[in-house]
Amino acid sequence: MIDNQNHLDHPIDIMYLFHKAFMIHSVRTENLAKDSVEGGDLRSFKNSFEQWAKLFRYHVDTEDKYMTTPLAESQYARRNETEHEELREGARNVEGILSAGDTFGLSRYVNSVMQALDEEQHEEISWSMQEVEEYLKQAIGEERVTARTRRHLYGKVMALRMLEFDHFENEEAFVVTEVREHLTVHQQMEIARHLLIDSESENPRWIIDWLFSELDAGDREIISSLESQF
Amino acid sequence: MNTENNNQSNPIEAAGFLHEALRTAANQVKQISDQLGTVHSLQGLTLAFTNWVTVLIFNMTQQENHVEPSLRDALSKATSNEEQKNGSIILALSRVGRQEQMQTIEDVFSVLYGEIGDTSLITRTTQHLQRQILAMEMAQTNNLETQDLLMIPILANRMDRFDQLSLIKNLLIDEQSDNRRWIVEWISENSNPISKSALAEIESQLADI
Repeated sequence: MIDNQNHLDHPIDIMYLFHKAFMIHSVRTENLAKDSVEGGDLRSFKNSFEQWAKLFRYHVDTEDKYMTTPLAESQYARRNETEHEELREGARNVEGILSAGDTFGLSRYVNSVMQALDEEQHEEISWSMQEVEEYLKQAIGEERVTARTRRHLYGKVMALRMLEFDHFENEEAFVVTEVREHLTVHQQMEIARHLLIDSESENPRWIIDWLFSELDAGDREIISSLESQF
Repeated sequence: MNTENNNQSNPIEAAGFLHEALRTAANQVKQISDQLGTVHSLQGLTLAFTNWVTVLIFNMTQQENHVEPSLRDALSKATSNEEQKNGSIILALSRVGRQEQMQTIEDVFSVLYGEIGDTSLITRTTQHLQRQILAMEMAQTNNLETQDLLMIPILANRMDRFDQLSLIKNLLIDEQSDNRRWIVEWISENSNPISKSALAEIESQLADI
């Protein structure tokens, strides 16, 4: 844990600061998605989400590689990796909505509508997916279709944020505890180093830069102290 | 839809009062659920949610049993192939919207009575509940939009006044209940004075139906 003197009991306890920063970033991103439902600019949300996705992917990929792989016998470690996959899937869903554009809120219904039409067995009439989508888009109106998309996007972002928070809670309760018990201080330092420093990047400290932008002076001091030991 | 001015000529547009009251109820439930972090009792939420969901489910049942068949019937008289095709798309969308709405209701029940049960509220379950309530409210927004924008205008154009009154009666009066007026009473409680007065006017015309 982190004590009152801004000291980490174990190097792996840096995870608490990562989670704290991610939670701040995710709540802000979710609020931007909510604002977009009420007519706010989607670009601010997109920028914030893309930054989150890049950071989160690096973080969970690194955890899988350096933190849970060594815990070969741990069910908690395997569960953690599964949760990471669920989160990656959630992020892909949000990215899918963003790349599909403002009509996604309607497009996602079209398959179900086609299926319902088939079940009604209109033998004398047939529809193409494009025909159904075009008609609904025109009948509902562009503005309302966009509003449907934004609502759907916000719902997905909120769900992803909650999945992320649940995951952090599980990871802290089960995996971080096992890492403390089963991995040496040296191994924990290596995990922390990989989490904080991206050696393959032109700017290896980009993750630390982000943490510094989200956390307070006391937390930044802890990170600097750990970094000085690498 | 201008329910306040047009319900004299198109009584079916009085469905808008019910829809508005459902939106108000959803917002109230959302507001209460947002405050769950500071209030450690589900009592207020359960009460508001039960109020909302009871009317919502009644409305969905009437939508399936009365509104959609009326629309189907109205469309059977459509002369052009295009009109029939578009009508079928609207009916299919309505059905999909109802199914989605039902799923979201089940999801809220699942958290409310499964995940939470008798145990105390913790942050995690509170957040799950908030998420499912939001999904339910979004499904309602989409479904009501389908009714307001696509279904009611067709019914208003194609049904005569008597048939519209007959249909709106199915949405406002519960013939199976000891208190047949409970929906009208509920809408009144969740409406502004102008809507209340217009609703009373429509209700007075239902006596002869």
